[in-house]
Amino acid sequence: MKCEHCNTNQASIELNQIIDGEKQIVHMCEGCAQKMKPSSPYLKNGFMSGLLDTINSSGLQVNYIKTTACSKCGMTYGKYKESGQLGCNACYEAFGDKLKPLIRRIHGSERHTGKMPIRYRGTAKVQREVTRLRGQLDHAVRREAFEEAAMIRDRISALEKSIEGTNCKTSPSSEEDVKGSSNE
Amino acid sequence: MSRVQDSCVIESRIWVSRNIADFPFPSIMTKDLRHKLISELEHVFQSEAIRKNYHLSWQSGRDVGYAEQLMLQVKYGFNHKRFEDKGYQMVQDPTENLMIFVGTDDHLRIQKHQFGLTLGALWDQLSALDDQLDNALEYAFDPTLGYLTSHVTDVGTGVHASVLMHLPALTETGYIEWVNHAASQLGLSVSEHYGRENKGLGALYRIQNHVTLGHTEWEIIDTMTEVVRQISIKEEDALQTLVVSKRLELEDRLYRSLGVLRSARLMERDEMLEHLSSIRMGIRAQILKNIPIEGLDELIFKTDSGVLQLESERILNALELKAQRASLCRAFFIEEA
Repeated sequence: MKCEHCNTNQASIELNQIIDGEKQIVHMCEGCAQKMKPSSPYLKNGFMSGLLDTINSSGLQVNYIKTTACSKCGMTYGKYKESGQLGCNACYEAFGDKLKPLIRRIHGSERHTGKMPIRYRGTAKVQREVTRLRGQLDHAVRREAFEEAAMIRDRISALEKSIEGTNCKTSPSSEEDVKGSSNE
Repeated sequence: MSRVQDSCVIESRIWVSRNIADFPFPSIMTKDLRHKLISELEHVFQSEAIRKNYHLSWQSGRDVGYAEQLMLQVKYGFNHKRFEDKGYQMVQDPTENLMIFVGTDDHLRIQKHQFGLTLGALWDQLSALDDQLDNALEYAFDPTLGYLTSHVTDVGTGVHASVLMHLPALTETGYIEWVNHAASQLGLSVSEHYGRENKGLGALYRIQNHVTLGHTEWEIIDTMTEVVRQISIKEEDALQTLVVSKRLELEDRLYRSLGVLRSARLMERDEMLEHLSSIRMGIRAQILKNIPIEGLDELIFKTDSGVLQLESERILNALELKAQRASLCRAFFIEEA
């Protein structure tokens, strides 16, 4: 769905407002919502001014904004809250800021430490080695062992380049193929 | 742990949730995409590596009858009603106790169960199958969050392990509350196997993990195995206390149960479970010595309404079900004891 304000960007926010006793729903992109001023036609009452003050000062607020949409499958955050089920793997990124506290509360952690798909296994090993070397680097710097630190830094840099190379080989899946619909 | 020592354990079960990266999750999947997914999976399941180990058969969720629904609930903890409109599929190898649900909450729910405390062995088998599927499919995975699932409660390993335990002595002494408390501290939950309405029915409880992120699969399995062992030790202690302090009452109860199970012509499920529980406790307390505990555990599942109807290959009315159940109980207890 296009933003009803700029008619260009994908709408990611759904604003509910009551004008002359009637409920109206406006779909906007994040940029337009951020730019809205109290003179905007959408802001006829204090409630909405308050809403945008909140948006401007601290980003998107769940209290007022019902929807953030996943660009891959179209799932909205409002719909997710109703069903409790995400639409696709990209929803985790689309709703990341909102899901992280929930995931932390449920699992007491935000980091997977278990099995990985085969395509990730080599990379994961290298990543763990990078993490280990970073610890060594900090230690070397604290000890002012700069020569040792430089060697470790070069080693980290080489390993990171190898990870980048691996990631490039893994082509991301086409988003075009992943459009789903709940209107079956 | 030997089968005698872990006699509090009836069955272990693991299920693994996986999704394919190129498809939306089942809750918003169109019919066309669902067919495409099923067709891809059919192709993958026909690979030689998988056919070497499993003889898989497909069945549509739409063809699941009433008896099978009951069987799915008791054997696989699967609620058909929740997914009957979703066009899910079942891929199974009954001889291996393997069931793969396609298109329920997630694209794949791969599940295996076995009698006894066998979580490690189950995970080895499931992980090997998981790797074979991984070779052919691109799983939805994020290096930070792990395997991505439609419910955030399953994200990470996507692994849920559970153990069905028989805890009559802890139930009777009230220490089952201790089990609840201790398990919850370790990210595990304890629930009555037959649900809230039948609180403590047959003293059967299911211990399961609800945390799937932040621990490896083996940490989850080792923690659960250790907790189950600790609960088993407490149950044995409580049982010995009962044997010493209330031996006569205990003997009276279990011999009455044995009498009923050997004689009854009609048997309700709930009544049967209470009698089987008493007898199982008697076997564990070594008061009853000639009844094989494994056979008794199988009887719990064999006498389930769904399984009875599937075996009879027809719908049985309430009276026929009770008669069939009583008949199986008589056959088992007259033959075995």
